[in-house]
Amino acid sequence: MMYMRGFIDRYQGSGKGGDLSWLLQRVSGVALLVLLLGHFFIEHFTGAPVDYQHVAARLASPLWKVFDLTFVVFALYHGINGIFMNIEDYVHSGWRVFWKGFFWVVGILYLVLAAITILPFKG
Amino acid sequence: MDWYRGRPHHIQYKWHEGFIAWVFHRITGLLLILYLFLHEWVISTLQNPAGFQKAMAALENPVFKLLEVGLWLVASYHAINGLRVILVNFAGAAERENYQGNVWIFWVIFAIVFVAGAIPMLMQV
Repeated sequence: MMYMRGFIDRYQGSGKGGDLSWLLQRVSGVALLVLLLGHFFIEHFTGAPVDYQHVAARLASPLWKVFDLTFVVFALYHGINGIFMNIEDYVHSGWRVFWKGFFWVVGILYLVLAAITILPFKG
Repeated sequence: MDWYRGRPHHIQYKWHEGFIAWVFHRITGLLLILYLFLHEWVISTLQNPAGFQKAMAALENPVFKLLEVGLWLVASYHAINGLRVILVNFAGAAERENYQGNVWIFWVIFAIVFVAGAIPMLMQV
């Protein structure tokens, strides 16, 4: 099974070949800071109530679709990558493969949910 | 699956400033991803206006307003400590002479940002 070692190790932790995901965690973190500030400002400082009318009008505009999709993609990536880091630090058995697979599925499902919520929305 | 046995992954933790900041970073990170899942699920009810209004009406409850301030606490902590981590990683903030200091400077900045954001949120209640 030695020939499998390199393949398996790639999925084991940031200590092995995880430097790219480590760097992307920093990059997506900074991006999220900017996106979150925009999101926070809109929700709390514009004075508009958070009701169907206002949220729907915003979600129907193409520019906000781009903003919201970018936001949710970065947030899901950053969050699930963070969960992976926790799994790598605390799960040291075969369950690691299970939990990583589980959160891959959860991540993809939420990405699909975001896409079908945002993209076809007309208001 | 015993190939990992004997690896020194049982780290001796030391309760210094940076470690405590790191523990909170983990906890707030997990809370935020949990919130993201719930938030996205609520927003997906937009396809059904009546369902969305019902969800939003529930969120008008003062309990949720307080939880919202809690969310701001968690998010601002994670964001600002994340910036500190980047300084530690890339700008030499991990050097011995300024490491403990940067954690305390971070707590002060975090407190200011949190209060500055929480005031307008609470004024809406």
